[in-house]
Amino acid sequence: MSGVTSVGALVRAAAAGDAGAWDDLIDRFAGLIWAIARSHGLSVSDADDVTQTTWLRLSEHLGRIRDPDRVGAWLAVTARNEALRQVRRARRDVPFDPMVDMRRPVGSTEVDCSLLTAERDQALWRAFKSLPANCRVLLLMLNSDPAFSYEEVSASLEIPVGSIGPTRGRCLDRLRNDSELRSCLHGDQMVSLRRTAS
Amino acid sequence: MSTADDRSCIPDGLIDVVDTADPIPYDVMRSIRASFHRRSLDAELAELTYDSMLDDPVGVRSGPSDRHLSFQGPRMAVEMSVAPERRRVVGQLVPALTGDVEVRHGRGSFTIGVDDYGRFFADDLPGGPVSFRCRGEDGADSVVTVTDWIVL
Repeated sequence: MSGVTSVGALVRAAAAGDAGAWDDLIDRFAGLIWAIARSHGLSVSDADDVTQTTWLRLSEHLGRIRDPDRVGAWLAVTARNEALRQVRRARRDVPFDPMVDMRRPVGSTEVDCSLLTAERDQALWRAFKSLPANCRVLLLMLNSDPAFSYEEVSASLEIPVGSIGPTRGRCLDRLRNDSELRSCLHGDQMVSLRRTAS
Repeated sequence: MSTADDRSCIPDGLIDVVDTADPIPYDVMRSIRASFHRRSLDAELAELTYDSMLDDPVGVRSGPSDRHLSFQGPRMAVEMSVAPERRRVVGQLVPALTGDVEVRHGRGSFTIGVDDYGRFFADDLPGGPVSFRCRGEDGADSVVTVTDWIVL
């Protein structure tokens, strides 16, 4: 299928038995769903369970999705709920706050990455990993291509549409205030970062 | 501290950085592609409507206790309790029809019986996602319902 096929059309085709349409849906959303699972601090094994459960569930719901064009939001909601279940399960054994990733490295090493893209990307990744789960999911959804609408983000994160902009600003501030990342980002580098990976 | 335009900083490169640093594993991609072929085309779907693990207020329970799940389909509901030890499942078909339940899991499936009161039992369920394909005998008719996939 071509890249211009609408998401809704892919859902309807998959529901009718088109395995190629299913693969296209996976190509569009699998990375995001994995990232949402991992945003909740889950291990690879637990994120694997969340990701598989989310897609298995979609396979049974294909013909029943109320708004096929918003299947991305449906997947995001499902993945987030499954991730929260895994967090709850983990908490039965070890206290865990889903809003804080406890695995943030303590005493991060000083990195001089004024020019090195790889070092800068690593710093960005570490700073991103230290954000609360909701920040991570929100930034991922708003920066996906194509981006999710505020309505979809609102439904996925169970927060009002009006609070998405301010929350996004706070999340970005936290990212920028990361000391390690700050040492990599000065002046125009903040802007230049946007196209480095593409 | 957000002096620059929020829209021009960081995020565009972020998706690529996240994808590169923590990509979805190949095995997981292969599994979710294959999940398309496990659809139950001839069964009704019982959707998860209640899960004590998610729907109960945090902190109500102290220590491990049974988890309760409800699935609701058009003609059949499935109630379930899951004991953490030995991953033991006690299920109840509503209405209480006799029949059998195929427990579908990541590596295949196995089938257990349903008694005259609509109850079924299973121990040592595999980890990862599972789904219950329930067949209830209603006279000459047979009601087939699959539950949503869930990790127990």
